[in-house]
Formats: sequence, structure tokens, C-alpha cells
Amino acid sequence: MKSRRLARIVIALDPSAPSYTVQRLVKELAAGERYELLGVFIEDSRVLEHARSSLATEVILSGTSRALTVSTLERQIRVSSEHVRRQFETIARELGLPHHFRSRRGEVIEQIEQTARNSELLVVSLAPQAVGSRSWWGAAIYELAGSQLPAILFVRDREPAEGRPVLMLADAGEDVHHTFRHARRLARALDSPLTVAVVSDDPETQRQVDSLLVPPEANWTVVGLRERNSSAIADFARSQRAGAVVLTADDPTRDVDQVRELLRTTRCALMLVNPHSAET
Amino acid sequence: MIIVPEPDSSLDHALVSPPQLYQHCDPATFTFQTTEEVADFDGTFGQQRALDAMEFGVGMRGSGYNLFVLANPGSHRHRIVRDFLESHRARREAPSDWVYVNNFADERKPLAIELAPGAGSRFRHDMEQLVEELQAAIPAAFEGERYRNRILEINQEFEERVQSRLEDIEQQAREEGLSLVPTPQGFAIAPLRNGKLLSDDQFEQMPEDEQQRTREAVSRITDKLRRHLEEVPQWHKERHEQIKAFNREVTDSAVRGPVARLKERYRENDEVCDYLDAMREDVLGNAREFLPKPEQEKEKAALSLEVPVLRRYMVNVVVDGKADQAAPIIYENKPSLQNLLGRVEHVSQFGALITDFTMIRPGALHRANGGYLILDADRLLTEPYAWSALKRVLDAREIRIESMAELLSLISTVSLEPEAVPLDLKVILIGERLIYHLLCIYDSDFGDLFKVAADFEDRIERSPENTRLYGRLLASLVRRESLRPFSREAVARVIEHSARVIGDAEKLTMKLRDTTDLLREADYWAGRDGDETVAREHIQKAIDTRIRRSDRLRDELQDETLRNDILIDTSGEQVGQVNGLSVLTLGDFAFGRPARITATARIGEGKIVDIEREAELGGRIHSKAVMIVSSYLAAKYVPSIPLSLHASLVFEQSYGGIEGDSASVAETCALLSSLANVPIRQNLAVTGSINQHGKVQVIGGVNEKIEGFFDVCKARGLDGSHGVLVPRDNIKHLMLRQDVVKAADQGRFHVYSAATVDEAITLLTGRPAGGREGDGKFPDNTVNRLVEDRLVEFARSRKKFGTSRKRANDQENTRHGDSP
Repeated sequence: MKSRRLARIVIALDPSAPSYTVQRLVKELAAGERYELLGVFIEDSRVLEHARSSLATEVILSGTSRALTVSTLERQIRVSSEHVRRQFETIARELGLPHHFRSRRGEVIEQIEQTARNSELLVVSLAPQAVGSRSWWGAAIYELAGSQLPAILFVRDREPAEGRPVLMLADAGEDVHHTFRHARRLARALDSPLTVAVVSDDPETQRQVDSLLVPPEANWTVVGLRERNSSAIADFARSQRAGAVVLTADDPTRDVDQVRELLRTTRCALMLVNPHSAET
Repeated sequence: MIIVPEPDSSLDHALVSPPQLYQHCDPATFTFQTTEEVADFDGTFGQQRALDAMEFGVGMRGSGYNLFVLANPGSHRHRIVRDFLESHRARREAPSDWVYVNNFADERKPLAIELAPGAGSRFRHDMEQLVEELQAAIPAAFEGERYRNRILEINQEFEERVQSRLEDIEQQAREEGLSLVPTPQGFAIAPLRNGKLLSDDQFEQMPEDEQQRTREAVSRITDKLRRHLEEVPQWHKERHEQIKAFNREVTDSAVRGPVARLKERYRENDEVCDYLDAMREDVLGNAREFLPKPEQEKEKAALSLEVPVLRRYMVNVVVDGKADQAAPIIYENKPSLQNLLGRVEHVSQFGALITDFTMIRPGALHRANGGYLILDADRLLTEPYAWSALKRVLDAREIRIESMAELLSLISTVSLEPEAVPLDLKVILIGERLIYHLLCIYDSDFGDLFKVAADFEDRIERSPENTRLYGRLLASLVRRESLRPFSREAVARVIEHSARVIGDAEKLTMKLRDTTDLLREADYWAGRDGDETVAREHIQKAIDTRIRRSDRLRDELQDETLRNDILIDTSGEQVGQVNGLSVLTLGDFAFGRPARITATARIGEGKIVDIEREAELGGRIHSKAVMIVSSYLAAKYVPSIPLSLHASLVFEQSYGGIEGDSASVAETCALLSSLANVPIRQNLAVTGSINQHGKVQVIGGVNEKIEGFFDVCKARGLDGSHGVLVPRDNIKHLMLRQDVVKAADQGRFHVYSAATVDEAITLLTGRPAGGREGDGKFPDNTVNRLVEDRLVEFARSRKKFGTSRKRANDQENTRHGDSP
């Protein structure tokens, strides 16, 4: 008898941020399901290339400049990798799930994308939106939004979303049902109400949304949203005190911009669902 | 059948008639049958002098017009003072309330705020309400979307600023042909060629000037990045200041309104308004304390030694009056330093003592401020540091809380210096006269601070009016003590007893504590008898049983006398021997007993030896009395020749000290008897003091003395010859026991009085004393004549003896060849 292949959740850990929020969220998302976790740490090859140049200079955060050497950088990366691995294993053990950890060297987005290609969900841990916290990944991490992964969940550390509404956007031409499944799962994991914000007057969209309400659930709400741009979504998310926003991936460039903007202007977690992954 | 002999007719004029021996109180004086019918007596009588003084002291404004009430314990002095003050308290306005609040500028020095009467509690309540309101309003303000958005805006502004600067630098780096990427600890800068990192080989192949330009470019971008990273902390600070200012703004939006409303309510009190301004400012800096705390922080706070911030806004009401309340009257039972001035309490937390302004406790001075403080002088003076502290407070006219532990440097923990509270009160010290006079002599501040003395009478005139009022007073005491009603006969008996206890038939004691005890005890005996009303017999029983409980020693001495262990003759006659009378006091019980006094006389140099003094058993007053006797003899008999007498006087079988001058009549008579060789009647006893002219003067304890001799005579059998001679001026003091009065009435016992020594010796010897006649001599066979003759004889013998001795000395000198 062939054993059933476990669904995989990949967690990309930012070495600059602790992962308590991620830990709690993954625990709830994996509840009742059989998952394996794959933790991944990316050693950024660009930085290593810089270190190979004798002209390379490193300016550290205190403002001091020093020569950047490969050995110094390798040491820093090793320390970070070890730190991330320990964090991940602690999380995984507490969740009681099968787990693996990989440290990969290369271009960050490319490596994460490759690692998460066969997973059901990629969870990206981000540094908290607190002043002074600085993500090692920098703004480049948002480029992941342009990938074709099935679903990506960006989670900011120290921004617990439990109990706060999950806001899902439904627009014309989107596979509302597919996105809704992800949103519902997220809302249950967070023990939160779910609000579906319908952007379009499109009858098909309306019909799909209406069908979501059967059977009706008390903590589901449908509201209208004026337009689907970052500013309007952010305003609405803030007014609802949303804990998470679920979007359907559309145009990679627009998605990247939107993800970057929403993560910058709200305190929400952000889930991007790829409609093309529905068949799989 | 009792055989009553005819009294000696020579004594008739000296006999004190039986009605003079006891001044009855006629029950008909009272219009009631029992005390139940009498309305409460709420006044004071017989104390007009003291009441006038109190009226003056209480009404007099100005520094130092505090009162010292001179009154003995048991005189109901506290009640009288309190009643007096109660009737005067309405004349003073209701005193202010005082509260202590936190001093936000210096927490070690809490502020005292004066409020209108009754406003203290309201202010405390208002502040509690305010804090409660702020606890809701401030979190609400911070939870609002407006707040969150603004903070987000500030943070975004900051982040954008940082990011924008970084992007500028990145742009410049690109323009310079450099790459800028993040590293785990900062940023890396390296040169590019055609969009790829420049290898070392490529760099080496570059012309020198191009290498130099590249190096300079790296250096420029490095400098820019470094400067940027250096300025980030300053931007952080600015962002922090912005958030802080906004937090203040948000907090103020929640605080402004409620505080303004409270200020409006207390607009007439500048101190409260100032405090509210300071409080508002403090809240603006401590807004976090009003926000809900995570459990972890709560646990941390519970373990912290720091005082919870919200306590800072509490109000500690130390004087809490009511608007319609008159001036307070406070009696401090234990006037210790802390009970007077108040104290700062501490609580122990993890071994450390901590405190704050809420632990300031008021003292009696705070509570009495604006009114009257009653203190017992003896208690005050025996409490360490209390007297000097009270003087300081009265002098400075402000209450400053001082800790004794700090005064003595016993503890060195953090404590407070609460702001002083202005003082305006009258202190009424109650104490005995001795304390008052000692303070006057030894405490130079006393006179300045206690300028009014209210001297209460220990006894009052036994006038008909006072007797009636006394009866009403007794009725009030009966009711206050919840005793059975007293019949008017019982009341009359109590009044008689009130005269007896002070040994004066014309006065009544104001030592009401003992009187109250007597009422209680009489009530007890009435209860034992199953009577609903206390009758005269119950009073008598209470008196008798009280004596019975205390008179063991009296019985013992009586027994020794009857068994002739102590020699007292009660019959016959003796030369140079007389029955004197003394009083022994044991606690509150006094009794009299006879004492044999003897005198001897022989030729000498005019000296009367007081054996008691020689044996150091005589007190100074007794010695003085013997000297007066000596002077009396020298002046009265043959003043023209030297007194050639050597006499001695002694209290026989006396093994303790002798004090007082009440035996000087007896001593004189014993001496005259010895000189005149005339016997003295032993069925009489005598008491009284004399002066140099032979006048007999009053003595104390006359009743006890008479009863003491009566008891001995009665035990041996009264035959009508027995009696006691007392000074005539003591007749008004007679309140003798009923058995003595009865015996006198039946002629079985007599009380005589004498005004001079001559009268006394006549009475005691049955022989006239005799006065000088025209020839300057006393009549033949009178006592005085016999005394004078004896003294002349002594003088002659002495002279003769002196002459023969001189002759013998001269002859002796001649035999040795000396010139005369």
C-alpha cells in the first residue's frame, strides 16, 4: 500500500526576526491535517559575491566602515543559519509535525521559489513593523508575490492576528471559491470572523459570492469595496481592524507592488492565492 | 443599766454638744421621694472660679491662651471640661478639612490642602472618579483609529525617510558604478562593470586614474552611507519625540475635559486648582499607566518596590469634617508623640520599608484643629518627646509630623516630610496642682503657652442651695450609672458622707469618683436585699463594708492596745503622761489611734529634748512644734530669769516616723503636768496644735482621732468619764460616726473643745490653770503657779550650783598660783 504524500508547508525564515507569530499561525493552519514542514534559510549569493571583491566595503549599522571579507561574511551567515535552524526546529517540535531544514545558497527569491514550488503554502516570516527592526531580506522579498506559487502567506512578527477579522477581496474575473477556501481556512486558524469585500458589480462575481453564503455562517460578512487599489484596501483593512488580508494573485507586477504597499501601510498578515493552483 | 456619773462641772463650758458632733442632712431638703423623679442635672456648681477661667480661656484669642485645668483625679474633671466645651463649641466655625496629596515636584514632600468643611471626602471621591474616568478615556483615545493612523504615519514617515535616503544612496551608488546590498550586519559596497561585480583582475587591468576614481567613488558612497547610518539615531529620536508629543496630545484630549470640569467645581480653591494642573501634567507623562497591562507586566509590577503610579492621584483625607459640624472636641487618651502629631506609616515589601503620602496618618492635633484638644498632663509628660513636641507645635502654630524613630535615628529608610498644617486650636491640659506648679517653676515655656489656669475646687460650701444641687447631681449619676433609684434619705446620707470624707461638716467633696463608687456599692447591697430602691441603710452598709474591707490593721492595733501590748491608760491619772491622738492613712482609708505621750523635767539649761527628733523619727513639722512648745514655756513662765529646765518628750511605743504638729497641745500638757507634778486624767485624749501664745489651733483628721480613742474606750467599757479634747475651731469639722454621736448623746462619751493651753490643762488635770493676778503671780495651787514655782526652783538651784562651782574653780586656780 502506497502511503499518502504529505502536504508541505514551507517556512522561509527571516534571520532578523523571531518567529512566535509564525509558530502560532502554522500550528493552527496545520491543525487536523497531515503536513510536513520545510524550513529554509537562504544564503544570499549576491552578498557573497561582494565579499570576494577586494574593493568591497561594509558599512555596519553603527556607521563604521570596514573591509568586507568572505571569511567574515561566511561566519556571519553561519551564525544566522544556525540561529534560524534552531528556531525552526523548536517550532516544528512543538507542533509535533515531521520537519526538515534546508540552508540554500543563491539568489533569495529564486531559491525560495524553488524550495516552495511543490508546497501547498509558503509562509514568509517578516521582521516586525517596528522602528529599528530591519529585515535582512530587504524589499526584495516582496518579489515573491510575482512568483506562481500556490499560496504565499506573509506574516509579520509581533502582530498577532488572532480574533481580528480576515478580509478577503473578491473581484471580477477571479476564482472567488478558490480564494475563499484559503481565506476560510485562515479565518478558522485565527479563530476570526471572515469578511468578503466585493469590489466589482459583476453579476458573476456577485453570484459566486452569494453562493459562498450557503450554508450561511454567523461570522461571515459580505461588504462592498469601492476600488481594488492598495490605498483603498489598506484603508478598509484598518477601519475593520483586520488581522489578515487575502488577495487573489493577478498580475505579477501589480501583485508585488500591492503586497509591498499593504505590508508597509497595515499591520495585517497578507495571503496571496494563485488561482492557477486550483487545479492542483 | 448604764450609770452616768455627773460630769465635772468645770468641764461644762468646754463640752461640745451632741448636735455639734454630726451635721445631718435633712431629707426634707429634697422635694423628691426617689432620684427617679429628678431631671438630669447638666450643669456645674460651686466651680464658678474655674468656669470663669475657662470661659476666658476659651473665648480669648491670641497665642498661648491655652488652658491648664487644675483638678484632682476623681473629680469628674473630664466630664466638666467636656460639658463646658460642648456648650461653647458652637461658637466656633466648623473647622476645615485637610487632605494630603502627592507633590509631583518632590514626592518626599506631600502637599497639604485645606478644603471647606466636609469637602475632603468629596474631593477624594472626585479624584477617584477622575482617575476612573481617565482609565477609560485614555485607553479609548489610544485605541482609536486616529491614534493608530497617526502613529503609523509617523513611523512610515520615518521609514520612508530612511528608505528614501537609502534609495538615494543606492541611486548614487549605481551612478558611480557601484553595487549596494544588505549584509547581516549592514551594507556592502562594491564596484560594478556592465552590471556585474568588478573582479580584482579586472580592477588591476584598469588604468591607474580609473582605479583611483573607482576607489574615490567607493569612498564617497561609503561616507554617505556612514553619515546616513549615523543620522538614523537622530531621526529615531525625532520620531520618538514626535510620538511622545502626539501621545501627550492624545492623552491631553482625554484628560483636559475631566480635569477642567473638576477645576471648575473647585475654582475657589487655588491650591486644588494648582494641584489639578500638576496632576494633569503628570498624567500626560504617565499615560501608559492608564493603559491595560499585559499579565507579564502586571506580575512584574507586583514584584516591584515602586509605588503603583495611579496611587499618586489618590487623596489622603486626614481631617474629615462635616459642613454642619461644630468645632471638634478631642480627648487623646494616650498622648504619645505619634498620637499627637500623626505619623507616616511604612509597609514592608520584600524586606524594605516603603511609604508614600497615602500612609500619612493624622494625629489628635489634626483632628482637633479648629476646636479643642483635651489632654491629661501626667500622661503627656510621661510620654517620651510628646511634651516638647506639643510645645513646638503650639509655638510654631503648625503641625509638622515628626517620626520618633527618625528623631532617634533608629531607622534610615526613605520617609516623607509632609507639608505642615496650620494650627488653630485650644489645648486643655488637665492635671493636678503639683504638676501645674512644677511646670510653672521648671518649664520656662509653660507660662507662655498655657496662660490660663482653671483651678477647680476639691470641695464646695455645704449651703442649702449646694445641697439641693448636689442631690440633683447624685440623681444624675445614679441614672448615668443605670442604678436603682435612691430614696431621698439615701441621698441625704450620701451627702453626709461627702462631708465626712473631706473631714468638714460645712463642705462637700467634689471628688465624685469615690461618691460614684459609693452609689454603685449601695446599689449592690440593695440588690442583695432584693430592694427596688436604694435606702439609707444600703448607703450605710456600703460605707461600713468598705471600712470593714480596709481595717485589718486598725483591728490589729486595737487588739494590741486592749491586750496592753501597746500601753494606753483610759482611767486614772498620771503625772507627765497624756493620751495623744494620731492618724494612720492606708491608701484611701484613714483611722485614728491613741498614743501615749510622756514628759520628764529636771534642772538644765533651758532645753526641751524631742526624743523623736534625736532618734531621727520625728519630721520637721513635729520638730518645729516642739520648738514652739519650748518658746511658749519660756515666754509664759518667769520670763525674767533664764529657763533652767531640761525636759524631754516622747511618743511611747512609737517605732515609725512622727510628723505633724497636732500633738503639741498634748506635749505641752504632759510637760506642764511633769513640771507642776499634777496628774493628768487618762480617761481623756487630746489633740491640737499650739502657737507661741498658747492658742490651740485646728488639726486634720479630727473625726478619725476621736473615733480612734472612742473605740479603745468602748472596748474597755464606757463609763461616762471618757472623752476627747479637740481644738475649738475643729468643731465645724465634726462628722462623727453614729455610734460616737449616740454615746455622746447618752453621756457615755464626751467631746470637749479648748481654745487655749490653759483651758486644755484645766480640763485634763481638773485643776484650774490660773491667770496672773495683780502682783504678777499666778494664784496659789493653780497649775501655772506650780509650774512657775518649779521653774523658779530650777533657776535658783542652777544659780546656786553655778556659784558653788565657780568658787571651787577659783580655789583650785589659787592653789595653782593663778590670779583670779
